[in-house]
Amino acid sequence: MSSSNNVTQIIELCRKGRPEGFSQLVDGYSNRLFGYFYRLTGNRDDSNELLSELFLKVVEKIGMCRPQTFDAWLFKTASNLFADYVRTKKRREKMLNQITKDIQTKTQPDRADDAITDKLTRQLQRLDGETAEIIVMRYYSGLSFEELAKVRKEPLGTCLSKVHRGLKKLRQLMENSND
Amino acid sequence: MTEFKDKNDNIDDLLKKFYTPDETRHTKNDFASADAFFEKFPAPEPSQQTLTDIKQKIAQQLENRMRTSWTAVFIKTAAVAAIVAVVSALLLVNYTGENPIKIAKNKQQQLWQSDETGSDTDISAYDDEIKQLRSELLAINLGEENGTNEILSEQIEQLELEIVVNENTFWKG
Repeated sequence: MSSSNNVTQIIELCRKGRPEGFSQLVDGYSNRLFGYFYRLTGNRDDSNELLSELFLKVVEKIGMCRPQTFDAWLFKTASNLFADYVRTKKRREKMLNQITKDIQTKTQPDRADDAITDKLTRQLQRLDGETAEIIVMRYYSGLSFEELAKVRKEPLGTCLSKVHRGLKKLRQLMENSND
Repeated sequence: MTEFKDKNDNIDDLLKKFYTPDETRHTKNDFASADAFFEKFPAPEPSQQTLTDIKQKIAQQLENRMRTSWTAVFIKTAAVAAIVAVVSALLLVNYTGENPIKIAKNKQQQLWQSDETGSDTDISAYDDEIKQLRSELLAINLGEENGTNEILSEQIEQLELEIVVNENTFWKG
């Protein structure tokens, strides 16, 4: 999405219920959103599912967003969706602890290119959930620190400090990793 | 390719607000190396099939929503039409039907403003007759006619009796 004018026009189309508007949103935001979900879940299938679910939510709630802050709204919605995903996953894990272990082993990315790409994802997942999420959101949403702080309802300094500490830790993990 | 560029950040100014110059330099280095990791290990992109599926699902949802909204419009229209019909029917009944309160008011007005002056005419006729009888009686008493005459005294008695009867009749209505 290049300019805010463009986004505003697309959102107007979407609000009129025009499929081509949503099509443009999907084309413009899918990569970043998929990256966001993939970094956090480490799983392509889950990321696809979350991406699909997110866009259906966008269709449902497009009337509630302001075009000026669309990116922030979109990534906040993605964040909420991911939080739901984590909760559901935890519940599932509690219920089927042993089976889930098998599933996790099976759903590890098995493609060769993923093994390379995933070094970062694996190290991100070694961070605590909140830190990983704020870093990933910072990079994939393209939001400024001020916008990020607003989305997370945190003071700007806190947000900046969390990202910085997280990145420092991530840097250490990446450098010490033998992958 | 995903963009990692800062949108509206002026990182230097921002860091200066919260860190010393030395910390600012270190923090900028950390940010830069993290940027490098994200560029070195780009996240995979969703497959074209995934995007097509999403677009199809969206189209389906929009279609369902459109159908639902038409149904909602139809239901709302029907409800409004029903309300209008009921209200119109009630107004019509009130307009043509007899309202008891209105009737009572009309009756009262009719009573006080009516043309039924028959009773008033009756009263004035009795009044006139009484006046006439009184004047005749007065004339007799004053000797305008011979009061000693037996026939005359009978007439007087008769007359007095008539007056009494008339007066009774008058007060009885």
